[in-house]
Amino acid sequence: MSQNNLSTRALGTVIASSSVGTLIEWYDFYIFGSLAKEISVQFFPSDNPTAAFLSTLATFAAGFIVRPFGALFFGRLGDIIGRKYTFLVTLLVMGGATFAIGLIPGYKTIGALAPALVLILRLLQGLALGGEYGGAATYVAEHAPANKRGFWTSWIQMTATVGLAVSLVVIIACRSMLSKEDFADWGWRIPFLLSIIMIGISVIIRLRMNESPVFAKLKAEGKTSANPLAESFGKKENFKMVLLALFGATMGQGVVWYSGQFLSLQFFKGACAVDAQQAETWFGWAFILATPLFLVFASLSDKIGRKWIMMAGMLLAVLTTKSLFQQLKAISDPANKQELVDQKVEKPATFKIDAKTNDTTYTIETTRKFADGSVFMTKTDRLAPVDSIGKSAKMAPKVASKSMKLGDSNMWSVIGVIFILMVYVTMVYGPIAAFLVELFPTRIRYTSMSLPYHIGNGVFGGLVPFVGALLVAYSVTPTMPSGDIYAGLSYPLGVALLCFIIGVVFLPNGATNTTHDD
Amino acid sequence: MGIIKRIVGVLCMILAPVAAWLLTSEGIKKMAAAAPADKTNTTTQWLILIIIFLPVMAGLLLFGWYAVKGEFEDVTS
Repeated sequence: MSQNNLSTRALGTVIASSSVGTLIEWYDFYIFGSLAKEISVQFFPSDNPTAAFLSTLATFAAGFIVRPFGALFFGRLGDIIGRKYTFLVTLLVMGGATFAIGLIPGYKTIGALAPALVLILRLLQGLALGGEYGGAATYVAEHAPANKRGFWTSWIQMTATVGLAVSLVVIIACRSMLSKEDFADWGWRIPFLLSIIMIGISVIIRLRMNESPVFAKLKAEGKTSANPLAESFGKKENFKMVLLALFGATMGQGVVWYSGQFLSLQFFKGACAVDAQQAETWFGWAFILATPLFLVFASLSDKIGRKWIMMAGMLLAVLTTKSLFQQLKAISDPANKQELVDQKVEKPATFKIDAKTNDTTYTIETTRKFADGSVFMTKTDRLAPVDSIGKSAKMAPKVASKSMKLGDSNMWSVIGVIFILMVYVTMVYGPIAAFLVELFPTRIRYTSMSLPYHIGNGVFGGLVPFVGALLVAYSVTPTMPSGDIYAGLSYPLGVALLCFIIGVVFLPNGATNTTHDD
Repeated sequence: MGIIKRIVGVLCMILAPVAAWLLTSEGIKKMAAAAPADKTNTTTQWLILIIIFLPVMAGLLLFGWYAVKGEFEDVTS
């Protein structure tokens, strides 16, 4: 890549225009996941097989198939037409799809057409996301001076975490301003509709931007690739670097990122049963505190090289993630707390009659308080022996739901654990954009770097919850009917270990000699 | 480093077909065992996973082959 002599101010404009758009794309992609429950009620009723089928497609296909396909489709365009117009298109596709999701009438109004439309729009979101990242990272890197490429591209890296934080803030704000019923009925549409304003601003900014100087020069000289796909994946010299980028960097980065930022939250709300709003707020603080580290580690990578920072992050994640998850469990486990026995409250049972079996279930709600201010609530179901003689023996008391509201004294312990996990995320994720752009020549950079990034993150990272749930299910034994709650970590940590080994042995620490543009 | 790269290459060449076989056989088992009401859903889910995962594992196999053949010797680590 050639050196550019842009002023810091001009570079700041390039960063702002690129990263704001990418942030909005992440925001758009995340709100669908964060509002999955409301969307499911509106569009994918579980008692309708067609809707359930479309829901599976929306969940699996958007992340696993369409994102890598978007990387290929838009990567090719970006290497032929240019970076600027391509990632302008991805922004418009993403924004349009997100806004349209907010407008679609529910299943009750237009039937199966509703989930079908949502599916199409979700796939468009996945397609746009697949094209956006490579464009933004390439565009910024091609403006940045070589000795600060890591630092400048790390602003793009931050957008994934900040986009998640913004989506949570907007959703929490909408929830707090509306009643529970109004939010479930129509309020969930607001975060989708708001997207159009943000996209509008971002499009105006991006329209004013110039094409990447490195690409513009290549184009003026007629040296752009006529067929970037064939050149990226058909020529061994380049394809082996695509494979190296995937198996030596993005595969491990994807699982470390997913485990630190998403699986930990899912674990804290699920296996630890911590109140969802409390968990999200505390995680949000940890994210905010850790976000500047993207810049720190990426900047450090400009001085000492990208490889060892990413590898150190992966190794630390492999060695300590399980114990950090155990720490989260220990903090939230009622067995580790001193109970205020005299404050235990059991509400009178409520009864429910099953119309089909005529069984009566009674539910007991118990509230236990602890010396550190934590409150643990459980709802336990039992079959009433009065109405179903003999059946109560078949059904052991079943904990229908439990929720732990942790005392404030636990806040910094939890934030500290998540902060450490986020440090690993920033180590592996901060320098990776600069690392990827340096691995490939300008003429096929957009195409070549986008695919390994989206397979690493979308496929390997995206599989973390699915494979994790499978592994937990395999660990079920008669003595452990719920399975080993840590078994799911074997997948991300195994993948990260393999990636660490490949990375240490094969990756270059500086820009490779494939960046032969001139 | 050359010999270590070859050993890691062999490891990848073993791991790729094993992972592909494990995922495919598990998928077939799960699709066959799915309850009738859930059959289409489970089948779609596993087919997507298998379709996307098999080429990735073929890539790992190829990566291992390149490493064994010394194709990464020019990439200085």
